[in-house]
Amino acid sequence: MTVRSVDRDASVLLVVEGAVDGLTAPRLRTAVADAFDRLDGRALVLDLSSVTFLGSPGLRTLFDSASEAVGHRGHRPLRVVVDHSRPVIRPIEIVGLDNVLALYHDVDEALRGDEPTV
Amino acid sequence: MPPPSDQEEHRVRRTRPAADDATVGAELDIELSAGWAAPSIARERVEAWLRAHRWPPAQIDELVLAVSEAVSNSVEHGYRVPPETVEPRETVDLRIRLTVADDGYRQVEFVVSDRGRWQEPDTAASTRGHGMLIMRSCTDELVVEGTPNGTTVVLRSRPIPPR
Repeated sequence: MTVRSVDRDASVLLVVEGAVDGLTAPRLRTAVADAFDRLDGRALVLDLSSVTFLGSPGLRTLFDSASEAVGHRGHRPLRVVVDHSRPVIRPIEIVGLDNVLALYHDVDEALRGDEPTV
Repeated sequence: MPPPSDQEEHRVRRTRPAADDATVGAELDIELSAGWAAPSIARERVEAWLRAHRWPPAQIDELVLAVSEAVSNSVEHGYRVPPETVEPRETVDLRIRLTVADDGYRQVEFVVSDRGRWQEPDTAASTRGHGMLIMRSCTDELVVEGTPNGTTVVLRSRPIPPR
């Protein structure tokens, strides 16, 4: 798994690629925590469209990040970009994360903060 | 096909071991080192095995996810392996068995076993809760047998029509 961080004037975009499982989820957690620390009012968007596998440790990280976004940082729901590939959307739906996250199919829509499209 | 309520009994009673496939056996036993790389190794092996048996792609995704969760549970909750540990001494056993019913419907059974002891549910158990939910959602039947000496998880696939 790799996490690429793209800082812009109005947003921080984390592009995640590969498998998010128990081996790699701690690194995603660290990357999200670092991004929160330097957001300074900007939007945070997680792009998961190149994630090939998402297991429960990764789901836990997303749940915790979403809680932190809303509960502690006063942000709106965490914006997450997913494509139509089942390895990502299926586990998100099974555990009900789709009710907690703002899900998009398009990075630009997510960055603009449009109404979630998924 | 019998009505849905009768299918389970029908399959259990009349299922027999499959004959060996021309290219890949109907049985596979794998011993995994119980580190955090174990789930990804299990995913690779299960996916390759199911592809070799020409399992439907959507079902492969489901079963790979379910087996990965079972192995992940053994590492995290059975042995409580610290994050990023790759090569501990403990092992997780993964057993794969293909069965074919008389009507030609195929099922695969995965048995994931460890010799650790799952923690009692607590506030930090939600990862395991998700894992259980995923395993149940992606299979026809989920059986978890926990003893002080280890935990065995049996995952049975949904029946697949004859090729």
